[in-house]
Amino acid sequence: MKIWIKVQSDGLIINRLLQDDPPVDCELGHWVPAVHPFLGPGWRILSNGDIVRPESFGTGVVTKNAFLARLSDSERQLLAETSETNSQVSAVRDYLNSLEVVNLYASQIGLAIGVLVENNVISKDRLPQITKLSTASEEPQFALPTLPSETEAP
Amino acid sequence: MLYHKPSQTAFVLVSRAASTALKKYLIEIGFKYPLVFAPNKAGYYSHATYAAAIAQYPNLANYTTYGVFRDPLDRFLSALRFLWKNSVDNPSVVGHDISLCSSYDEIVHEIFNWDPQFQTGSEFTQEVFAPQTDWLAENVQIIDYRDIGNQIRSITATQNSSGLEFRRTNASPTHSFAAASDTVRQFVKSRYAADYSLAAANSIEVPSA
Repeated sequence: MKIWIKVQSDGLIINRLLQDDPPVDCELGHWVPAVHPFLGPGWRILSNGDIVRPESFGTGVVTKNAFLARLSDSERQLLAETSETNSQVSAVRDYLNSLEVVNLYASQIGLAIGVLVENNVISKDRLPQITKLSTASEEPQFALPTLPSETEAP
Repeated sequence: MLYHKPSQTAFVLVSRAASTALKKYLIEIGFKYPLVFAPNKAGYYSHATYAAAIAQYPNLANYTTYGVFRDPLDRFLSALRFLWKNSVDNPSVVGHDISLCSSYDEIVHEIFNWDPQFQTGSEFTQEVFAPQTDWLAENVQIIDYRDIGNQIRSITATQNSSGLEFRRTNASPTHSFAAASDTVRQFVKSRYAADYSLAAANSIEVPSA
């Protein structure tokens, strides 16, 4: 099953579906495959390539190894258990497992943390310990591509 | 690929050929970096080939498109150092812990077992070790890596009204590996024969040829 997100022309994601075929409807916005499995309503793709998470998700960027190392045993257990029943958490777990060159994707790890907080795998109170801001050398130097609007398209 | 609609100019990004610096510079002067979805995987290309970009955005075929060509040996050694550094953080990057390797020969042995045709397993390493001909299609105008600063400034003179400097970023780490052996050089000549032919056809001087 693919994850599809519906993006408005201003970059705001307004819907998310899990199905094989592209969704079809006539509402404002267009459906595209999700670049990251945890993207959903409330996230926004900016024209400069940044992806902005909803404010409620908090801030923080951390690499995969550092992130996993900072989880407690009980949080690891909860991540495993929750991913069995929650497709969003499952997608994040699979995504974390699929990463190979972690430093390239540091910002995306930060996004994943937001999903885990939203789904109560990690308590918000734990964010200061878990999501320590990365050093400059860990910060991704890589802008993310964006889907151009109809007027911006080449 | 990045494009500038008003001037109908585009650049393909060739992995390990100043692509990060070029992307950063071009975005800052107003180029767009569009999503190019990879048909056979869930995500997108970070270094979309010319063909993949055209498939999703057909009008890019009407743009004047440029791409950077780097001496295949320099590019290959840069990729090895890049993966060597990353393997310290995550040995699974190439399926082997090459962080313990102390020479280019050892890394080539670990990753390729000296088979020039060997295709690595991960999408990331496939891209890093792909020949430049994957990106530098027939209608892509080639920029010589050694003169990249001057050429980029010249090509983007009209878009770069603020006089932004082109600066190199994300260079592979320097490391005290000894110079590439003749065996490694032969490996590169064989693996990247198409790149050497491309350079010759475009009269680009390649020191390792």
